Amino acid sequence: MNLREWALPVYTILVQLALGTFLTLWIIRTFAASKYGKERVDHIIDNSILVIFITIAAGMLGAHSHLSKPLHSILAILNLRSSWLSREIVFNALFFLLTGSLLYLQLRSKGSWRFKTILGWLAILSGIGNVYCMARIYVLPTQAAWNTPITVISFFTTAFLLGVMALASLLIMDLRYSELRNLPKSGLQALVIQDSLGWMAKTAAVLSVAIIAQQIYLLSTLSQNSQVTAQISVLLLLQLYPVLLTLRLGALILGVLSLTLVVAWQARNHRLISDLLVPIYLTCLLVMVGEILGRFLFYATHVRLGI
Amino acid sequence: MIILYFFYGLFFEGLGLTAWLQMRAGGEFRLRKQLPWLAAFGFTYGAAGWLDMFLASGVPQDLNTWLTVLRMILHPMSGLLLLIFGWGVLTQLTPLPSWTIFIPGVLIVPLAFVITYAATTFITPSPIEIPIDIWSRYLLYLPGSIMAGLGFLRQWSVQRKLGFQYISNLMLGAGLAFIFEAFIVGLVVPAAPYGPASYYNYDRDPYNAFIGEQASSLEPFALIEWLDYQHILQATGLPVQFWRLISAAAVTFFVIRSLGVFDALRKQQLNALQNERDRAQQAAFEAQIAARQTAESWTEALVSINRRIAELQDTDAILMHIVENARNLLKSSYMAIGVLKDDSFLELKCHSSELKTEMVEPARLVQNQVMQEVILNNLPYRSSEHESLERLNGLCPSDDRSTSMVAIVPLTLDNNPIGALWISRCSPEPYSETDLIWLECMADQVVIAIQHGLMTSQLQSLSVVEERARIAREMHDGLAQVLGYLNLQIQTLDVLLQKGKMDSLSKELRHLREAVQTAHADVRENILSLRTTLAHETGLVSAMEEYIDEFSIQTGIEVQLFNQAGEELELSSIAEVQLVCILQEALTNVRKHAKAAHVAVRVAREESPGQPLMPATSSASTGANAYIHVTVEDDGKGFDLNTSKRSFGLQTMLERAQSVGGDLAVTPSNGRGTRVELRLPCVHQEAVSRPSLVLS
Repeated sequence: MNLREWALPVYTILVQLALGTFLTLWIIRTFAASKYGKERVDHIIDNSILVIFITIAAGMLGAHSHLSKPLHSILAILNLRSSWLSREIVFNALFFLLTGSLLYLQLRSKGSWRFKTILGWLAILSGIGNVYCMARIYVLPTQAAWNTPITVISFFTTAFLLGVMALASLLIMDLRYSELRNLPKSGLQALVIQDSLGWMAKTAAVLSVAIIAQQIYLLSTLSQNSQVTAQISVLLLLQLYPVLLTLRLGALILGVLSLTLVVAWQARNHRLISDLLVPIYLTCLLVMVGEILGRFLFYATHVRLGI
Repeated sequence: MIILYFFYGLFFEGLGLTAWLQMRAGGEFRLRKQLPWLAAFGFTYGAAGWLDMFLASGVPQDLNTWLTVLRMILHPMSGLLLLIFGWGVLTQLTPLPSWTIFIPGVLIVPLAFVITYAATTFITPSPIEIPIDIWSRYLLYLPGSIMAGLGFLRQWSVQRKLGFQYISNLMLGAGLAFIFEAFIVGLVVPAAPYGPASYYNYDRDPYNAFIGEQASSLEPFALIEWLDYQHILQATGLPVQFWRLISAAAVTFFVIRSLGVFDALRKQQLNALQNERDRAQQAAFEAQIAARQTAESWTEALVSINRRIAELQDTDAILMHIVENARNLLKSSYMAIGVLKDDSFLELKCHSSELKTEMVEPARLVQNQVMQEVILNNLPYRSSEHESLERLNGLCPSDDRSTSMVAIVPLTLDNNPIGALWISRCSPEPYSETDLIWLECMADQVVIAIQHGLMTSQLQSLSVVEERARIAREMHDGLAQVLGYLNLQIQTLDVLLQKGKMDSLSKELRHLREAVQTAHADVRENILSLRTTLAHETGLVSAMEEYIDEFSIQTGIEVQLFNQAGEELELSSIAEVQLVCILQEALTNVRKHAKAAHVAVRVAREESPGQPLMPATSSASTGANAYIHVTVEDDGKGFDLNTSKRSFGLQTMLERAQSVGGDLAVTPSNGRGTRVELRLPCVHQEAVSRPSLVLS
C-alpha cells in the first residue's frame, strides 16, 4: 500500500473509532445521569463530544484525500438507491452534522436534556448506518476474502472495541485536565470514570475474544473455500504477513489484558483515577495499533477475481 | 568521513561524560533529574557514532556483521533515551499549560498509524538495519530532539522573563541546536521506498525493497525541494555527516555550558539558602530568648499572685493585682473580670486600663453577644482580623478608644460558669493562641483567689462563732457562777445584818471577797486570752512568751518557756491558733485546779512522728515529716483520771489538736503534778502563712 491508499484505513478506522466512542459515551451518560443527576452530568462530556466531532471530521478528510477529485465526492449521493458508497456518504454527512449540532448545543449550554439525548442517539444511529454501509461496500462476490458476514461484524466489533478503549483514555485525560485547572467537576468525573472502568474493561475483553474468533473463523472459511482467490488470501496471510498477523493479535491481546490488569490493580489498591492516565493511554495505543494492523491486513490480503 | 564519525562520536561521548559528572556532583536544579537520561544517551549515541566509524573504515566481514548487529541495538536504544530526555526537558523544567494534556490524545491516532505503517515496512526483503535506522530516527530521534528543543526554547523564554539574559541565550542556543539536530538526524535517513524516506534521504539512488531493484529517482515536491538534501549537497559540497557533526557540536557546546550555568546558579541559590537559614536560626534564637523572658515574666506574676493568695490578702486586692499584671504581660489596653449574677447577668467586678486599676462600685452590667456566647458555650474566644467591630461593643466600658481585638475566657468553678475574664487592645494585632492559653491560666488564678477568699471568709466566721462560744462558756462557768454566788451571798448578808449576827456577817464577807477575787482573776485571764488570740501580729513564739509572762504576773504562778524549736515553728495558720488556745486552756486548768507553783512549757521539733501520744486517739495522717512537740508540766496536786469527773476542757483540747492533724495526751500523777503533751504537724516553709494570728 502506498501512502495514498492508507487514506482508506484512516477513514474507516476514524469513523469506527468515533462511533464506538460516541456509543460508549452515551451509555455512560445515561447511567451517570440516573445516579448523579442530569444537570451535573451534562457538563462533564463537552470535551469528549468535541474530540468525537474532530475525529469524524478527520475521517472525512482522510476519505477525501483518497479521491482523485475530492470536490466531486458530493456527486456520489446521486446513486443513493443502488450504491452503498452513496448511502455511506449520506450517513457520514448525517453523522457529522448531528454530532456537530450536539456539540454546538453542549458548548452553548442550549437545548433540553431530552432533546440532546435524542439528538445523540440519532447521531449514533447515523454512525451505525455509516459503518454498516462502509462494510457493505466491501462485501463483493469478486472478493472472496471480503465476501462474508465477518466483514460487517468485524467493522462493528472494531468500532466498539476502539470506542471503549479510546473513551477510557479520553475521560481520564479530561479528568486530569480538570484537576490541573482545579475545576469543580473533577470530583464527579472521577466518580463516573470509577463507575465505568470495570465494565469497560470487561466489554473490551469480550470484544477482543470476538475479534480473535472472527479471525480464526475467517481463516477457516477461506481455507475451506475452493476459490483460488480465497486460497491466495490465506497464503498471503499465513506466508507473507504472518509477522504482521502475529503483531496484530499480540497487540490486541496485550492491550486488552493490560487494561484489565490496570483496572483491577486500581480497584484493589484504591489509587487515584488520574494516576491511570499513562497506562490506559498505552493500552489504548496498543489496541489501536492492533486494529490498524488488522485493517491493513484486511486490505492487503484481498485478491480480486476477474478484472 | 572516518574523522567526521570519530568527532561525531567524540562529541556525544563528551556530552555523556559531562552530564554524568554533573549528575554525580549533585545539586537540586530541575535539569538534574534529566541528566541520567542525557548521560546515557550521550554514551550510547557516541558509541553508535564510533561504530559507524569502524564500519566505514572497512572491517572484516565477521566483525562487520557483529558491529552491524550492535549498531542495530544501540541506535534505537539511544533514540529512546533521547526521547525520554526530551520529554523530561519539555514537561519537567517548567510545568506545561493544562491544555497540553490533550496533545497525546490528539496524536494517538496518527501515532498508531505511523507505528503500524512502520511495522508494515519491516516485512520488506530489504536489510533489516535500514528500517531500524529509519524508524529509530523517525519515531525516536525526531520527536526526542523536537521535545528537547522545545523544552530549551521554553526555558529561553522563562529565563529571559526572570532577567537571566546569559542563561536565556544559552537556552536559545541549546533549543535551536536540538531543532537542527531533529532535522538533520531525525529526518534525513537512508534511502527507502516508503514514507518520507523516499524524499529526505542522503542517497538519491534508493533501493526499491519491494521489487528488489534500483528505484527510479523521485522528484521532490513542494517544500521538499527547498529542503532536499541533494540540493544542499550540491550547493555546499558537504555530506550529511558533516552537518550532523555541526549539530552534535552545537548540542554538546550549549548543553554543557547550560549545565555549568545551572551549577553556578545552584551554588548561588545554595548560598542564598545558607544565608536564609542563618537568618532563620538567628530569628529562632531571638524568639527563644523572648519566649523564655515571657515565660519568666509569667512565672513571676503567677508566683506573686499565689503568694498573695497564700498570705490571705484581700481578695479584691488580689484580683486587681491579677488584672493589672496580666494586662501588661499581654500588651493589652484593657482587662476586666466579670462575675455572673443570678446566673444570667454579668457584672463588671474589677478592671484595669492604662490609666487606672480599680474595683467597680457600684457594679455595672456587661451586655455583649460575644460574651454571652463564651459563657454559654464555656469556650474561650479570640477575635480575628475579620471580626466586625460592632460585635465587640460594650466590652471596655472605661476605654473610650475603639476596641479592635478581644480575647475572652470563661471563669468556671466546678464546671459551672461564674464569670469571665477578658482583655482587649486598640491595635489591630490579633491575640495569638498562646495569649489565650496565658489568659486561661490567669482565669484559673482568678478562680483560685475568689475561692480562697470565700473559704477564708467562712473560716473567719467559724472562728468568731467558736470564740464567742468559748467566751460564753467561760462567762457561764466563771463570771456568771460567781455573780450568782454573790447574789446569794448578798441576800445572806442582808439576813445576817437584819438579825445582827456580825460574826457570821464578817465570815460571809470574807467568802464574798474571795469570790470577787476569783472572778476578777478569771476576767483578767479571759481578757489576756482574747488579746493574745485576736490581736497579736509579731509571731507565734513572741505571742506565747508575752502570754506566759502576763499569765505569771496575773496568777503568781511561775511559768517558764523553753523553746528549742526556733522562732519559726512552721505550723499552719489554723494549727497556730489551736496551739495558742490549747496552751491557754492548759494554763487555765493549772490555775484553777492544780494549785501549782511552777509550770514548765517546752516547745521542741520532732523530725519523725514516732509513736502516737494516745494510741486510742491516734492523729490523722498528714504526711508531714516534722512535728512541733509542746509539753505543759506543772508541779501541782495532780488528779486521778479514773476518779475525776470527765473534763469538758480536756476534751476540747483534744478535739482542737485532732482538727489540725495533731495529737494530745494528758498524764496526771496523783500528788505529783500534771503533764499535757501536744504534737502538731509542721508544713513546708513555703506554705507557712504569716502573720498567722490575725483573724480580723
